[in-house]
This record gives sequence, C-alpha cells and structure tokens, in this order.
Amino acid sequence: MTMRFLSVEGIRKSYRGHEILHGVDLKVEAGTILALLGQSGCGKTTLLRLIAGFEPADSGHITLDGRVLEEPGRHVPAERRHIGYVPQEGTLFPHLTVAGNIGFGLSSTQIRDGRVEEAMRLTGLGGLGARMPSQISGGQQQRTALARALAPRPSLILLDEPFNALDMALRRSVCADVVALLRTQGATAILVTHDPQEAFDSADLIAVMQSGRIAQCADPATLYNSPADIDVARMTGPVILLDGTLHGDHADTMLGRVTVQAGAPTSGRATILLRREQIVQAEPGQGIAATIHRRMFRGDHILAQVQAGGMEFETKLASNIPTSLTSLHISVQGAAMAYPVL
Amino acid sequence: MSNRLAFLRGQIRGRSIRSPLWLSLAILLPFGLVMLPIAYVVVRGMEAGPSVIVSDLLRPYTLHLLVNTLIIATSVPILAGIIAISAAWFTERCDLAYARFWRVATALPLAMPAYVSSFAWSSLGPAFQEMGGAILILTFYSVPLVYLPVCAALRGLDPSFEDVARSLGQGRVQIFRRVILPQIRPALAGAGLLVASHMLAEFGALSFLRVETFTTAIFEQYNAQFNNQTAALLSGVLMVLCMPIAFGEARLRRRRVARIGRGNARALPRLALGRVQILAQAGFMALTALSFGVPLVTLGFWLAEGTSAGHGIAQIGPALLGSLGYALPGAALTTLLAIPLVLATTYYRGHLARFADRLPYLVHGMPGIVVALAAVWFAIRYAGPLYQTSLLVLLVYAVLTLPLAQSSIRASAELVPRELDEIARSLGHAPFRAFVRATLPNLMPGIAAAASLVALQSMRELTATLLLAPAGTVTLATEFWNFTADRAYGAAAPFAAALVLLSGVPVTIFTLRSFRVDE
Repeated sequence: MTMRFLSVEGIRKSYRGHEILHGVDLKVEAGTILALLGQSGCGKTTLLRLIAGFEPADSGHITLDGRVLEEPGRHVPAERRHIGYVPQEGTLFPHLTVAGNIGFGLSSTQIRDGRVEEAMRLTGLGGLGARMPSQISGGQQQRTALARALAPRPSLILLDEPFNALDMALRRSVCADVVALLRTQGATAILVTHDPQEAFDSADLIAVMQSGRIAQCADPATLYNSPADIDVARMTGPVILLDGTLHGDHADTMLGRVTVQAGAPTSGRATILLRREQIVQAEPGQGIAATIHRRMFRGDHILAQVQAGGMEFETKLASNIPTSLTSLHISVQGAAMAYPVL
Repeated sequence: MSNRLAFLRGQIRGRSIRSPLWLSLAILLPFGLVMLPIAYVVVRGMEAGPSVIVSDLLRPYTLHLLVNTLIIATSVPILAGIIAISAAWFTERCDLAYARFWRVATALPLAMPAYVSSFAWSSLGPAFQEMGGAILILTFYSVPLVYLPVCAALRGLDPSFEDVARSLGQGRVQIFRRVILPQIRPALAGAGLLVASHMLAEFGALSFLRVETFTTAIFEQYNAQFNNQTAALLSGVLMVLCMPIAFGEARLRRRRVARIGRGNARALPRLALGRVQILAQAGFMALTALSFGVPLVTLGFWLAEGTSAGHGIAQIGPALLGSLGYALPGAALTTLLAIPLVLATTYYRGHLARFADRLPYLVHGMPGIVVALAAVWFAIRYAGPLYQTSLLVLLVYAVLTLPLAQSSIRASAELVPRELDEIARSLGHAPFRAFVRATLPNLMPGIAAAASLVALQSMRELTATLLLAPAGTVTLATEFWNFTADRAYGAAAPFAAALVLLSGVPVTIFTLRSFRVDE
C-alpha cells in the first residue's frame, strides 16, 4: 500500500469579509480514520470542502501523499485531486440506477473490469444494481454513496455528516458498517460529525474544532480524559466543574480533596473538571454527605441529580442502590483535570 | 435523495387511499367538459361513414398537412429549447452582467401573442412568410415558454451533485452533460411538449404566414361549411397527434423528483465569463431584438404611419373591458375546475381520476375552433339556454386552458404533504373543511400562478371568442383580427399594442416574482 499522508497547514478562509477558518493545522497518517468534531458553524464543513478542493483557500498549504494540492498561487481543482467525497444525505444522482451511480467516476474500462460489482459486493449492495435511488432504503442509499466514492480507489475519503439523514438506530449500525468497511480497505478518511459518540465509535483520532480552529487533536481516550480546555471537555461529554485550590498533586474542593492529573499547575486557584462517572458512592464513614434529589433508571446505571458540598450536579450511580435511599456519602475516584483561573 | 423525501413519496404514492366523496364529485364537471370536444369529434366523424373517412383522409392534401404540422411541431420546440437552455445557462449559472434585466427581457415575448408577432413580421415583407419564416417567428415566440421552467430547474439543482461529480474526477463539460442536463431534462422536455401542443393548435400566426397545417385547414373547412364532417375528421387526426404529447408529459412528471426537506443553503457556483461576457451581452441583445423588439417597432410603425391609423379607435375602451370581462372570470372558473383534478391525482389513487387528469392535455393541442363547435353542438342539442351566452365562452376557455392551471397548481401540491390534511382530520375537521383549512392555504402560490396564466391565455384567445361570444361583444383580440382581415393594419395596431401592454404587466411581475423566490 502506498504511503498516504495528509498535511494541512495554516489554512484560512473568509466569506464576505467574515473569516471562517483562522489558520487550521491538521496532520493525518495513512490508514487513519479522523473524526472532525464540532458544533454547527465551527467551520468543519468548510475545512472539508477546502480539502476536497471545491473552493480555493485564502492562504495556507495542503499536501496529500507528497503532492501539493493547495499553496499560495496554486489550487488543484477537485476533479484532479482524487479525493472521495460522501456528502450529507448521500446525494445520489436521481436519474441513475445504483450501479450507474457507483460507476459514475469510473472509466468504461474500469467498469468492464468489474469495479462496480466489486464495490457493490464490498458494501453489501449485491442485487440492487438495477434499482433507482428512490427504490432503496436510507441505509442502502448511504452505502451506495460510499461505494460510489470508494470505486475509483481514492487516496483519501471525506465524509460530511453522512449519517445525519438516518434515524438514530439505523445511524449507529450504518456508521459501524461504514467504519468496518473503511478499515478493511485500509482507507484514510475524515469524518465530519457533531456527535461525540459517533466520533468515539469510529475514529482513531478526533480533532475538535471550535470557531475556526482545531482546539485539540488526539485519540479518543486522551481527548475524553485530558481535554485541552473546558470547551473541548464539554464537546466530548457531560462535565462537573468545581472551584479548587491547588496544593502540589491535589486540589481542595467543595467535594473534599481531589487528585489532579500530572502536568497541571501546582498552586493557585483552578477550575477542577470531573466526569460524571468519577463520582462514586463512598465506603461508610468516608467521603462527604450528599442528597439524591431526582433519579433516572438507565439500566446499567442510575443517573442521579445530587446535592453535595453546597452544589448540585448529575452523576452516575450503581443501578443496585435501593430506591428508598435518599442520602449517602460520595467521593471522587481517579485524577481530575485542573485549569488555572485566569 | 433524502430519506424524508422517500418517506413522503411513499405517503403520497404508496398507499392507495380513496379520495373523499366531495372530491370525486368535483372532478366530474371538468371531466364532462373535456369529454365534450372528444365526443363531438368522434360522433361527427363517425357520421361520415367509412367510405368518406377513407377518401377524405387518404388524399395527398392530408399528407401535405401532416408534413407541415409535424415540421412545425418538432422544429420549433427543438430550436426554442436550444436557445432557451443557452439563455438560462447564462442568466442562472454565469456571472452575466445585467442578469436581472435579461431575465425579464427574455421572458417578455410571453406578452406578445403569436398572431401579433406574426402579423408584425409578415407585414415587413414576404421573406418572413411561408415555412421558414413561421419556424423563425414561432421559435422566438416559444423561447420564454421553455426558458422559465428551465431557469427554475437550474436554480433548484442541489450543488452537492456537482461537488460529488467533481470529486469523482469530472470536468465542467462532463458535469453539464452527465449531471446537470439529466436533472433539468424533465423540465426541458415538459416545456418542449407544451410548445409542441401549442404549435399543433396554433391558428392565427400560421394563417398570417400562409402555412397550411391541420389547424388552419380545419378553420378553412369550417369557413366553407359550418359543422363540416371533413373538419371533424381532420380534428380526429390532430387529436391522435396530441396523444403522445399528453401521455409523454405524464411519464415525465412521474420521474420528476422534487427536493423537500433541508434545502441546501449554499448558493450555486457561477461561472466567470471573462471575455465571453461581451459576446453573451450581444447574444441577449439580438435575442430580445428579434423576439420582442422587431414586432414592437413594427407595431409602432403601423400605429404612427398606417393609412387606416385612428380608425375604430373609439372601440379601444369597450374592447379592453371586454377582454378583461372574459379573461378574469375565465381564470377564476378554470382554476376552480383544475383544483380537484390536481388533488385527486396528487394525493389519491384511482383510474378515473388519472384519466380525468390526462384528458385536458389531450384537448390542449386541439384548436379553439373545434372546442367551440363542440360547445355549440352540445348547447343547441341539449342546453338551449346556454347558447349565445358568456358562460358558454367561459366554459370553452376552461377546456382550452385547464392544463396550464393544472401544471401550476400541481407544482404547489407536490410540495404539500398529505399529512397536513390528515392532521386537520384528526383535529376534528370534516374532509372538505380540512382541505379548506389545511391544504388550500398552502396551494395559494400555485393557484395564483394558475389564475394569472389562464387570464393571460384567455385574453389572447381568438377563434372560440369569434365564434361563440354573444352578438355585439368586442375584445382586443377580435377587433385586432377583424381589422387585419380587412388589411387595415393602422387601425389594428392599437388593439395589438393594448393587448401587449396589458399582458406585459402580469408577465413582468410574474417573472420578477418567480426569480425572487430563491434569491
């Protein structure tokens, strides 16, 4: 397999005098699936469109596999980049059959060589080649769009929130199918999404985008456990924020003494960040007193609204605690992130 | 295609729910009206007997008519299509300077009835007569009929399709051929079929230009002998020619895909014209000059210089009122009749409804004179009091213009999900009331468009008005026709000018509005 390597450096883009991307840097190794995670309007789709080459960047460099696609004074148009693209809602050509859609980017020689059938077999669309897009299900439409992008064997595949149009249950399973397929192909892919769960499920690396910049790019566990800032933490899951004072490797908070992760400042006031599952029921006689105000049974855990240390927050408790229990002791497990108060 | 759309289509087409009683009853009236000319042609044709049918139709003359009719009905839509698609491409997808102005200018010939522009051109000299002139003049007349729907289709395209095609390595020309053209083909072909059916029914213009087709021949026959069997037979042939057009339109419509759901907010990219800009400007100038400028200037010449200028000018007020007096109620009646036809086929299933919906398209290619004679035939035999009344004229207008109203209303109806009606029903409204409260308000854009198109078309209607209107009725169209028949061009010109001005107002507003919707 050839070495594929995408490098994006200092990309800027403005629309009508309003800058959307303020110098984006991104590196993707060959065979990596990267999720571009961010809220709507953060610029993630714009970045994807610039990588695809649909529009030129205002400044910055993009290289793919050693080939310069974008630099000042040079813009390789989309049709010569050999980058696959799966847009929102699939966007199948309504006037072509499933096979017609998949063969759209292939030469007649490639079609004769059975590339369409190969792509259909890979994506589990066997037997549907003669159907029109309106005659297949939403999941099949999405897989057709993927097969169409994969058929010319692009060096990179871009997926722009491709599962948005699907309902929740279908969304998870189609996403899993797509990721499995991309992995068996050893494809390098960028998946745009606003759903952290989708990003965790599918990606080797997650780049969190915030107002036109990459705030952090890391593997899912690092991103979740050691977010670069509070906004990144919020983007990747619910958080509990506490005021604290740092003393070496720990901080004093309203929930008592909490261990902080290495690399944090060692003194001064800080915002301490906990994940919900870090709050646990304490052994009798330990921890601090808490009152349960409201509880929601979630099967494997109970999501409880808890009051403790003068504040109220949501936490996950073991699902076997008795229904009658309204007061208990809690403690914090594991190390917390600490961000200095500016 | 979006999931939601697939869902909606399933809702609309998949379930076979019978239409409510009020709707089934409401389609009977337009159905009966449209059946009338067909019944007339069949009954009168049959009365002729087999030997007359054979000897009348198997003549070299019939072949001559057939060839002429087919030449006009195929060459005009094709040429108009080529011009219209180029114009639409420049105004919608390129950075054409003064695009707003050129859009209106390209649509404006709609305000010029074909017989007025033919009169203007043919009065310039014999070079603009006969087949060549007819093809030229009718092509320029037809361009807006194709231009407007093609523009709408071009603007309705989802830019993602072009993105996907580019990411698959397709260049500009390939994208036009493989992505854009197939998507606008239904609009293009639908408009082409509409032009073809206009060409089959065209009388006034071809009569000026001395081209003999089935329609002009039918008119000649009726002039020679009222209620003529040969004419009925020729009408039968014309009706057969209309069939592929009527059913072709229906086939295209089934394939048409409306985009519902989250529209893409991103604007379609426009091509920079660079040096071609000046050429494009020259092209639009030439197009506007030929299709609108020349007829207008010629009218102005006759208005100022014609020897008979000023003659009959006192009639202009009454003629104006007469035209409006028929066009406006005609528009109201036709729209009212078209609504149930559209609803019955868009939201429900049923063979009768589908047939009733197709029938008007079959009759649309028939000349007004056949429909008018069918009305006379029916009124004299079965409905005496109707004869020589304005109501009969309005009913004939309705038969002639129903497809225009149906197409406009259907465009709106296809965007209104049937769930609206079902929700209203679940909230306790009876079927008709549910329709009035929930569906009807959402159909209003289509209904307004339908009414203005029908009013425009009725205002220029000539043959049926000449034949049917109560004694003493004057309209702009009939006065124009009577003066030109006496070669009193100067006297005819003011009526044509008034007609063009009157039509120009709704055409301009309509064009500006249709373009503003997505800007």
